[in-house]
Formats: sequence, C-alpha cells, structure tokens
Amino acid sequence: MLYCALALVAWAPAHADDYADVSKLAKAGKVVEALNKTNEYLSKHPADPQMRFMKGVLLTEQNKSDEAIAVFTKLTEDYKDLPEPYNNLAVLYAANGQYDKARAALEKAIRTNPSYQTAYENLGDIYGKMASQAYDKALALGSSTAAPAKSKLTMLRTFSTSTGGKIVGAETMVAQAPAPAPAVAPARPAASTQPPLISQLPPQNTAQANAPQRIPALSVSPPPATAPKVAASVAPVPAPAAAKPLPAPVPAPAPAPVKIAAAPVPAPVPAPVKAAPAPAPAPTPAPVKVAAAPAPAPAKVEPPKPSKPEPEKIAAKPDNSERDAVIAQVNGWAKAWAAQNVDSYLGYYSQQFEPPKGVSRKAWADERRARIEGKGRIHVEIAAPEVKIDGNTARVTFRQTYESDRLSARSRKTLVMVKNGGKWQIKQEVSGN
Amino acid sequence: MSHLAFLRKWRAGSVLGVVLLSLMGGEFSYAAKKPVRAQAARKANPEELLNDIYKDLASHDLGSAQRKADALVEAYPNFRLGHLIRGDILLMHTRAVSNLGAAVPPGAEAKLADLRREAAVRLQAERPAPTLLPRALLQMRKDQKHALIVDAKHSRLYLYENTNDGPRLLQDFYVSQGKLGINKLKEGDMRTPVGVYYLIGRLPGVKLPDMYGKGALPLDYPNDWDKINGRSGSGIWVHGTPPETFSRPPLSTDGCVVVSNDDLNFLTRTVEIGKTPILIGDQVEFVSKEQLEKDLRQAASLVETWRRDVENRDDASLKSLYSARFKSAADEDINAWLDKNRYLPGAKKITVTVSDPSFFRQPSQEEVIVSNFTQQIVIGKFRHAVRKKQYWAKEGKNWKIVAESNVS
Repeated sequence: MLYCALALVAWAPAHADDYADVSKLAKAGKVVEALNKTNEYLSKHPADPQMRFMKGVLLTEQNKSDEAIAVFTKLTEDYKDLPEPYNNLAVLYAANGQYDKARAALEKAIRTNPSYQTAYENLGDIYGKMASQAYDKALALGSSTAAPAKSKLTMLRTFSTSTGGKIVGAETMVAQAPAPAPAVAPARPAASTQPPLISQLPPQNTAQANAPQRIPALSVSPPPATAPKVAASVAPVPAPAAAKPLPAPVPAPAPAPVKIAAAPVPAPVPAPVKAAPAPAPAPTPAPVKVAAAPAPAPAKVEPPKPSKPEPEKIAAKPDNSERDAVIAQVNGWAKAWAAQNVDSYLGYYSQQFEPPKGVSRKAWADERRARIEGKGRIHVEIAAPEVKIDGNTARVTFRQTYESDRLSARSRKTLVMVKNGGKWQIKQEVSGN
Repeated sequence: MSHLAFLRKWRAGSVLGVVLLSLMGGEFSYAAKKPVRAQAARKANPEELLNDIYKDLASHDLGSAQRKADALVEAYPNFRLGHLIRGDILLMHTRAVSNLGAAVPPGAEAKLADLRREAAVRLQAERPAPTLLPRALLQMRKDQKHALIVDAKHSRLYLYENTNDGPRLLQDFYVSQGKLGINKLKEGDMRTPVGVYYLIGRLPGVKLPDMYGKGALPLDYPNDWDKINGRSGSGIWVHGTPPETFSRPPLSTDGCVVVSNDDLNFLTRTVEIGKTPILIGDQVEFVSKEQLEKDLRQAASLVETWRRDVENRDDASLKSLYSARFKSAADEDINAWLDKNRYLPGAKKITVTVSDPSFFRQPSQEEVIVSNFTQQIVIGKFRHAVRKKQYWAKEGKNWKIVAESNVS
C-alpha cells in the first residue's frame, strides 16, 4: 500500500495507467520489471518528469546510487522549481556521507518552496549528522563517523507534494495541476505532518522487505498532502478531513472524496510542470473556510443524553461529567505526548484505533515511538476543545500547538473517541483546519 | 568553563539565536588588538576567527557564523575546538544549543571538558591596553630584541619587542602548560616552572619525535635560584604540537610550554638563542609606564647599593645585602663567595662600574628580581670585567641577594 504513492499523479502527457503498472510492479517487489517498464515508457516520452522521477526512485531502490543521482540531477536542471528531486538528491548524498552536498540540495529544495516540510525535516537530520561528524573530529573520535546507512532522511516517491495539492487514497489518486498554490506557502507546516522518517517506517512493509535497499527511506510516505486545490474542485462534497492544508500522520483523507476527484482527473491536470504559480491562489482559501466551518458548529450542538437515567437533572443542570471525562483524556493524551512518555501516550489509543495510511497498528505504534522519543523535547498545548458526544462516541476538536526541537506549528485536530469499559479512548485522529 | 547560552527557535518562529557569552562579559578588547595583529599578515588567525564567529552569533547571524566555522575547519582541519564549535553551529540550525559541545555524545567527557577549558581561555584572552606595560619587563638589555612572558593563569604567551620607547607587544599566543599547572619542584611532577629563564637552543622538529611538532626551544631550567631551592627536573622546552592536533588542552603537558606549530615556527624565527628571556608565572601584571619606571628605579638602586659597597670595600655592608639563604652555584656560603670575588684585597683604591644592565621581575607572587649586568673593576692598571647575574628576593621589607653567579 505504500507503493500506491507511485501511482499518484497523472502529469499531463503521461497516462495514469503506466504509472499504475509501474507502481504495481514496484509494490510487488518487482523492481527490475518496474524499471524496465519505466525505461520503456521513457523511450517514448523521454521528457516526462514524473516517470523520470520514478526511475530515480527505482534506481535508488536498486542501490544504483550514481545513476539515481544522475536522474535527479537532470530533473533539478530541467525543473528548477521542483523541490522533490533536490530532496531525493540530498537523501542519496547523505547516504554516501556527502553531507555538504546534501545540505546544499536541501537548501535549494526549500528555496523552491519555503513551506516544504520534508526538506526541512531532512535538513534537520543533515545538520545533526554534520554536527556529529564535527564533534567526532573535535574529540578525535574516529569511530562513529560515516554511518550513512543510519540515515533517517525521507526519500520522496512523487514530486508534486508541495507544488500541487494531491491526495493519496488507497489505490487511487487525485491529480492536481502543479500550481504552487501560493496560499499554502506561508502556512506553517503542522507539527503533526512530519513525514515518516526512514528509520521509523513500518518494518513489515513487504515491498521494503523485498527490495534490497541501503536507504530505508524508500518506503513511501504519502507526503503531506496540501490539498486546498482538491478541496476547491470538490468543495461541497468532501468530508472536512479532506480539506486540510495541514495534514497529519493520521488518517489519510477518506476514500469518498478521492473517488470523486478521481473521475475528473484528466480535466484539471494539463498544466505543465512549470505551471505559472499564479493561477491557484483565489480558490485556495475558500475551501479551507468551508471545511473549517463545520468545526465550531458541533460544539454548540451538545447532544442530549437520552441514556442518562436522570433526565430531570440534565434539564436543571447539564451533566458535563462525560464531557469532562473526554477532555481529561485529551489533556492526559497531550501531556503524555509532551512528556515523551510513549507507553502512556499509546495507552490513550483504543484497540479499535485506525492507524493512518492503512499501516498495521504495530507499525504505527513503532513509528510514533521513534518519532516521539527521537525528539529533544516536545511541547503540546490543547486549546479551545469542543466536544460532541453521541452515546459511546465522542468527537473532540481543538487547536493544537506543537513545538519540538525541530519545529513548531499550530493546527486543528479532531479526535474521535470511543468509550471502552468506562474509559474514553482515541479511535481516530484527524488533523486539519 | 564556557557556558554559551543559545536560544533559538525554528524558522517559522524565525528568531535566530541569542548568544550570551556569559563568562566573557565585555572582555573583548578589539581596540587593543587590531593594530597589533594587523602587521602579522599571516593566514587568518584561528583565534580571531573564533572570536568573529562568536560576534556573529551574538548578533544573531547564524549564516555568517556557519560560513566562518566552515572556513575555520577548512583552514585548520586539526583544530578540534573549531570542529566542536562548528558542530554546535550546525545544530543551531535545528535546535537550541545551550552550551559548548551541546550534543556531544556521552563517553568523551574528559575531552569535552578540555575543549571547553581551551575555549574559555582562548575567548577570554586579554590584551593589555596599549598604554600598559608588563611589570615583569623592567628593563631589557639593548641587544635583547625580544622577550616572552607566559601567563600561566590565562594560558597565554606574550611576545614583546624591545624598542627605544620600551617594550611593545607584538603578538600573543594560546599555550598549554603542565597537567598540574605551575611551580615545578621536582622531576616528573608534571608542572611548569615559574621564574626568569632564557631560551638556550633551537631543536628542529625533524630530529625530534612527533609529539614535539615542528621543533623545540629549550629553557635553562633549573636556573641558579631553582638550584638553591632544590628544584629538580630538566628538559623544559617550548615546543609544537603533534601532527594530529592543532593545539593541546590548557593543562596537558609534562611541564613544557606548548604552542601550535604555526606559532612555534614564528617564535623560532623571532627569538635569539641565549638572549631572549622567557618569564613564566601566574601573576602577569600590566602597569602604567610610571609604575614600571618606579619599579625599575628601585631595582637599579639595589644594584647601585651593591656596587658602592664593592667599590668602598665595605664588607659588612656588602654582606648585609645577601640573604642568609644565599648559596653560590658551587654551594659556597656568602663568606666563601665574597672572598672568591674580591680582587687584590690589598689595594686601597678601586673603581667599580656596572653597565648594560637588564632587570626582570618574576611574574609570580614570590617577589624576585633578576638583574644581569657587566661589572668592571679597575684597580690601578688592573682591569677586570665579568658578567653577573643576581637574584634579588624580597625578605620582609628588604631586598636581598639570594643567588649570584658570574656568567662566562
């Protein structure tokens, strides 16, 4: 399922079918076949950036680092505005221990798109690597240098994450014109959007297991989908979760809007890669508002509690005990997160919790653990929680302020909670405005 | 210890960093430094680069600090402190850095502590205001072109040039000293001696083991005064560093004074063997010219009193100038020494003159003045000249000669 990202985008001249084929092959661990297919396609459409990008990814997977570097380098020359090839170049350089080059490439990636989160994360890792090399030299330690295999950098499988909104659903995709969506740029990356770092990816990913890769990064991280454009095109339809410029490591957008968007694919797409940055801004803010609108509403609609045995009390004075219990849980959850007490943090999630991206619960938990424990410090703040309770299900929406040693961000978050044995636990976690 | 507090927020917050060089307060005196350094047009001094980097950090210019740190380690790939600071600066791009070597992994505490000490002494390096002079250099002999002063407390070596207007600071250097500091007493005590010494040789690095680096300049430790005090040991040198490191921690030698190879090369070219004094102590003072002249008059008057007593053949008075501790290099007591230095005791009229004097004050708590001069005795047609070295120590309120020798 991680390979679904390969099938993502239908760039103007390319056919979604070809990508899907390549993606399927890659997913099945048939990297060589996938590569053959890619080459075959490129012989007919040598300029197609998406397929070239895929080729770079596939080459990387085959440890053909030099060839992959050549492919990505050429892409950066042909498409100077795309951050993803720079990012992947950086991952490759870092894997070779060439941190200076990696740093330069990431800085270029960020220059192309200041809100480009993966590059920031990767750059942070590069700085950390370089610092540790510097320390080794300072302390005349010869040992711990050059362990490129330990690289945590995130390799991207697709390069439209930042330049065009795109939503990844299981086995489907939404294509977007690669308009750089200026409205998105100034938005701060959400704390919860950290793309999976290499070392934290689900270990039982079969594709990954099959592929003999030096860079574990290759497993797909459906990149933070900056989705305003999607929302724009399907504005009235999507569930609020779909319209989120600040996506989370949590539930990928529901399948519903994806299908809707999938149909009209060819239409909105034709913009070439170097699409003028201008056209998008107008529609962007709108859907956000649309999506955001429902959020405050539920708060007022405090549902009656029919199951309560003493209705007269409710009438006289609304029983807030459940609401308080929910909020207490949310606060406890945030506290455990901030305290980097992962066991406690994970304890707030119900057995029914649906990990995002369809990964297994264990994989998800491992990733969270690595992510949380890997930070120097974390600060989490919950503000203005709004609770909506319906029987044994509660929906809490709040403003989350997240700060770590790497970044800080604010976002809206919704926790869907269920009551198990008298205890409220998280069933679903949704980020976005 | 250097505690450099950095505050930093990630880009979104976009406040770069505040640097508090808490321990250095306002101690940078660039005004005093610049004219001095300007003439030394060698490759960029690493310590100056270090200072520049901290200035950048203080003004929240992480980008510039990074570039300078990169340049620093490129120019000095074995400068470990440079790498340490560069590591911190790299980290500052992503997180708060609260002290030097903030994210050094555990297991290297001792090395890290050494580097922090080195950073502290380097960044606190003091350069005296141009009007202030080292109290130790009371008067250099005219043909002594240079003098070295080692400030053990601050791990600093000052190179002075002897000009017509008095001593002038040419340059100063970071130095390492004995693991256990100063006041060497005996062989193997890992201490650096305190006193007034001379550089008595030049040993090229090629003939020495790697650990001495580009070469060595041996000192005349133990001197007369050391011998009287029973101080033992030998082989105290100024020398360079082994190839793998640009500098050594402040307290790291077996008693030698260690400078970087670049600095050693420079010193080797500059000093005059047998002539250039090196004064070592932990109380290097910088005083006004007036104070220095006052001290010099006092030192000169001591020798003048002695000269008069010799000339007047006033043995009682002469003897009173010598300390009860006095011993000659040949272990003679004061009477034996004076007898030996008495010429033609029967002669009535003798003339004694003192010329080409130098006076150095030991930069230590113990007050010792070392005077060197040529004594000429004229008795009728008999002339005798001898170069003398006297150690005067303050005993109570009086200065007494504690050691004296005739320099051949």
